Amino acid sequence: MSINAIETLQFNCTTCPSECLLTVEVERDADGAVVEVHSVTGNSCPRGDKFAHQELTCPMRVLTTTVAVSGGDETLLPVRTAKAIPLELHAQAMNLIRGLVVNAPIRMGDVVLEDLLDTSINLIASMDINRAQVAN
Amino acid sequence: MAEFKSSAIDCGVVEAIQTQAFEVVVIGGGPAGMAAALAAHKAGARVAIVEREQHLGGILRQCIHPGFGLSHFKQELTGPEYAQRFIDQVHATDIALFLDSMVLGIDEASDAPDANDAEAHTVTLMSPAGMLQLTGRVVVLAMGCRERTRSEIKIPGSRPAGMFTAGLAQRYINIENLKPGSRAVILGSGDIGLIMARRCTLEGISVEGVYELMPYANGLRRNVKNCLDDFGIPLHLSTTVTRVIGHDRVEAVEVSQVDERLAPISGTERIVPCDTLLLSVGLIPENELSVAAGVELDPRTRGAVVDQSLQTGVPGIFACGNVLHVHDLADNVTTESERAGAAAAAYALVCGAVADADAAGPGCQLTVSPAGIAGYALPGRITAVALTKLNFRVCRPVNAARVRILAGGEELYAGKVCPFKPSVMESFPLPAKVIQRALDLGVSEIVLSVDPVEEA
Repeated sequence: MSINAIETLQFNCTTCPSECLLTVEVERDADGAVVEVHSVTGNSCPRGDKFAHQELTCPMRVLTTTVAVSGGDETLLPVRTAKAIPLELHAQAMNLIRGLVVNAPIRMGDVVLEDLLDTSINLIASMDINRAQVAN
Repeated sequence: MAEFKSSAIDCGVVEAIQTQAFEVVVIGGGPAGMAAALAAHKAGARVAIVEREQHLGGILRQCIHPGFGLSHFKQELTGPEYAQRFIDQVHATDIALFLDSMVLGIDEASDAPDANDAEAHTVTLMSPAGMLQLTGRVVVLAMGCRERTRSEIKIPGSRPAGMFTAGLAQRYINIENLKPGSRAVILGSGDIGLIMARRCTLEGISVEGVYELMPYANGLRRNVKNCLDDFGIPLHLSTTVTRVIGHDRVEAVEVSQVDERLAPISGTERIVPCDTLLLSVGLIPENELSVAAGVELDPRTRGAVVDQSLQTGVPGIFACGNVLHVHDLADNVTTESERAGAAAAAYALVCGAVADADAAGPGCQLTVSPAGIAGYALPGRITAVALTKLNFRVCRPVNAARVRILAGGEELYAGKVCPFKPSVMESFPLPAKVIQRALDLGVSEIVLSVDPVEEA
């Protein structure tokens, strides 16, 4: 039976603009998977501790990109995931979102795609887009 | 008189340029302009915004990434969401909007258009409906900044297609649905460069690496982590692009390591194949209109010299946001611009003469200069004894330094020891009693000095 390795990592918390530098001690198994987070130091609030645990088990990020617009006064609609989704799903999500076309008008917060990749998180519009003014 | 011949030939009609009167005319409809206009409107002024694009929002429309609003809205928003919240607020008021309109000049007309109000400023603009003049007792400059280009950092080599400022590539990808290339090298680790490294990767453009002249990353830590580390994009510090290779299109760039004096080290050259070079090498406040209007600039910020109310040296012209000094966060632009808008409305409504008399009352005229590792100090002038917000940035990162206020060889104030980095715009409240003390000493200048301290 192999012995788990203890590793000390340093990374910044990105929860707020303070960007505390966290020092984290983790225990990994022979495959490199995190078995346990032993300690988190350097955080000036409890969110840093929560962030470090999440970051080492399943890092979560908000994904932002654009989708094509039909009939709008802009070509592209900026979109975001309503909440953070697992970072490892971002590439797959991009492949799915790339083919979308939405029709103007669109309001900020409108759902562009429901339950993105079974995350139960919606893809939503970041901005209003009005119908194109038709020139006479 | 400002008049021009109608384009209708020989019709004998001479049209005067249309003029509309306001109290506050804001130039620029980005985060600075919208915040200033809303604050001025809230204070009771009749306000107009002039914006050269078709929509309000400015550069935020193309900054589709999250990271905005953490301090202003207490939640993380994307750039377009941050902009939309202000656009909605503007639309809920009777602030007059002149979109698709380019300002040609401030106070260029030889005659004041409104003879009853010699103190009014005139903003001449070209709108889709033709030339217009807006008058206002106050003009707020909120034009933002633009990117430094290759010519400003003098990269040797050929001049093929495929070189973009990072913000231009961002516009191509996020607004215009164009793909700038397929294999990119990014020079400069400023926030826009880091953001574009991630954006290119997500859009299937491979990013060979980010190269940074300085020995440290210039962007926010969150961006290094979320934009480079997440995607395994290498960051090469103390390394720069020393040659561009390619005839019609970029084929490769040569990169070299640099020494402590930032000079390329011979023998360290390496060829990196790519078809696209993105430059994220700094921002410059866009002040052509300001200079033409007689506004004095600070050579350090390349923005206007202002007093504590963000008024420039030209009475009735205020400045805020990135046209005044390049900010780190949009939230800070908003805070500053709300201050400028409120001060602008107060000036416009009380009438300039009275406001000036008030300011001149205590006889306070101090200049503020930076020293030590402080790259600049803003405001450059203080004309009132009151709690004053000072902004500065350091020239290089330090683990421990102290802010000191000096006057006539005396230390009037010393802050606590803390770390500083150039990517952060620092702010610091200067107590009224420190200003009063400087006046008591009879000095005309106070110095904001940031001095590294030895750690015990």
